[in-house]
Amino acid sequence: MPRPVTAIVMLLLSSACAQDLVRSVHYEYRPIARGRGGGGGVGGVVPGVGLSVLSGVLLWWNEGRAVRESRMLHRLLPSLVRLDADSPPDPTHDGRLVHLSGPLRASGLVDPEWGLQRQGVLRLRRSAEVYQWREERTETSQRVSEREVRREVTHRYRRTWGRVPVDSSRFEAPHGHHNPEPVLPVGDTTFTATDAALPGGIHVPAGLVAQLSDYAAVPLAGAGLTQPKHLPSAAITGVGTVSIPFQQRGAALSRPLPPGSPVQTTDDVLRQSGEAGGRTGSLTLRPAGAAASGETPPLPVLRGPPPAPEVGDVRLRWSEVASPAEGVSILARQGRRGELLPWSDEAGRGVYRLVRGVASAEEMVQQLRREERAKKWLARAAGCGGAAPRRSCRPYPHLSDLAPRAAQAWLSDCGSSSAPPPT
Amino acid sequence: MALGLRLILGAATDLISHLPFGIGPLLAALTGPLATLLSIGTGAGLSAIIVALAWVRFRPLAAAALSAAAAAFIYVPAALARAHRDAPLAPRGARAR
Repeated sequence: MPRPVTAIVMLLLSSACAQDLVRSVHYEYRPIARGRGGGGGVGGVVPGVGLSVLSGVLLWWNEGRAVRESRMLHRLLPSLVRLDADSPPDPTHDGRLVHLSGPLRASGLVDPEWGLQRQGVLRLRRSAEVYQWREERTETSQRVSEREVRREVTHRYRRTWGRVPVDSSRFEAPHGHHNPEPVLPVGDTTFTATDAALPGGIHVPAGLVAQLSDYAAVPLAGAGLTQPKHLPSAAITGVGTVSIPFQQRGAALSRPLPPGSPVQTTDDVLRQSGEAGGRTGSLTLRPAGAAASGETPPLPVLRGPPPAPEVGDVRLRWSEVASPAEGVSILARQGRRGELLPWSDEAGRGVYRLVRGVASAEEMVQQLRREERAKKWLARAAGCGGAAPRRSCRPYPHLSDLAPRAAQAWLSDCGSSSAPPPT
Repeated sequence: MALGLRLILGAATDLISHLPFGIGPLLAALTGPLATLLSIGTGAGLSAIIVALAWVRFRPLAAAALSAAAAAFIYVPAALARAHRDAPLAPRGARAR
């Protein structure tokens, strides 16, 4: 089976748009195949057999799993004990599956690194993002003759905020697109209340509370944020954003502010209650007296339009999950001291569920059934191979060469096709 | 399953493409889509049979119905293909004696 020999005939690097675009053009020797029927040829037999066997195993395993899950869900309701959330835990129900509905209360959470305190919230998330270069690769191929294909690879570079640092040394063109090490770790840091409880005193562990995930942004003005000693240039630059310029790592804010930008401390903002008239221009961001008294200074507020970000800058945002006003509903096993633990049957299949709002046990079990059904059909579709990748229907390069338009139209139809479900 | 079968059938279309006098690529272009359809149909049928076997112990009736549907899924395209193949041999209006 002759394989097409790839030869890079020409390499063209074009740096356009101030080095934000790098384009390389290759000419590959790829004659119109006479010995390729598609589907990977003879070499595709072994992977094909392996893939078919794996699909069969997946289908078999999925059905067994679905049966066990279905049995477990059928057994849930008869063994369930419905408890009143206002009542204290009853030791007679220890070890049994219980259902509870009621308001969930917690004292609140603190982000110790930044001094942010939020009363009564169940979850608090700090998201740190870095402004960095990102590379995007696009590739196009075009047959230029019976023997050659022109392949054009374009790398575009743009600056965006991201929660995962990008290693710029792996870029196609690292020069001019350097990403410095962020001044602090980027990503999400989540705090979950460990003292959440129902009115009757039943403790709701963090594993259940963590199932609430509808976050809302935290406004930062007046939230009590403090300035970390190792990041003296950090400042609140928006309703819910703290910006840390890269250039000022360990130094005072040195980037020139936009002309006329008023800068105030948090104390100033609170004192003047939003009234304009702060000091302008470059100034010491620490409030007078804070440093002298030895207290951790509050984070200053930069009013007006925030400065344009530069590569390496880091911004922080906080979001929280407040206690649902409509209460929560829980399915779990009651432990010895009234704590709620995961419940499981003999086969090891379990339930440990908290949902927002008041839902009956039947509704919660129905929801579990719906989720299980979705999982079952997803695995069936994967095993059947109905959602086969487009690549499996695109093994006819010679066909598209012979009749480009008709073939490509057919192939595009074929790529979106799917097999009927097995049942 | 369908993807695996398509890879296996790729060998057949590959062999066909080696036929001489320029008919190989043409035939391969025709048999390729046929192989894709065949692999999708057979994959769905085989998948249904596996699902039916898994359910025999718990829901025998449902498993039997599913097996019948799967068998039909595999048999009907084959029967249609056979009928299509045999059709030119019998002239229109002719009756077997």
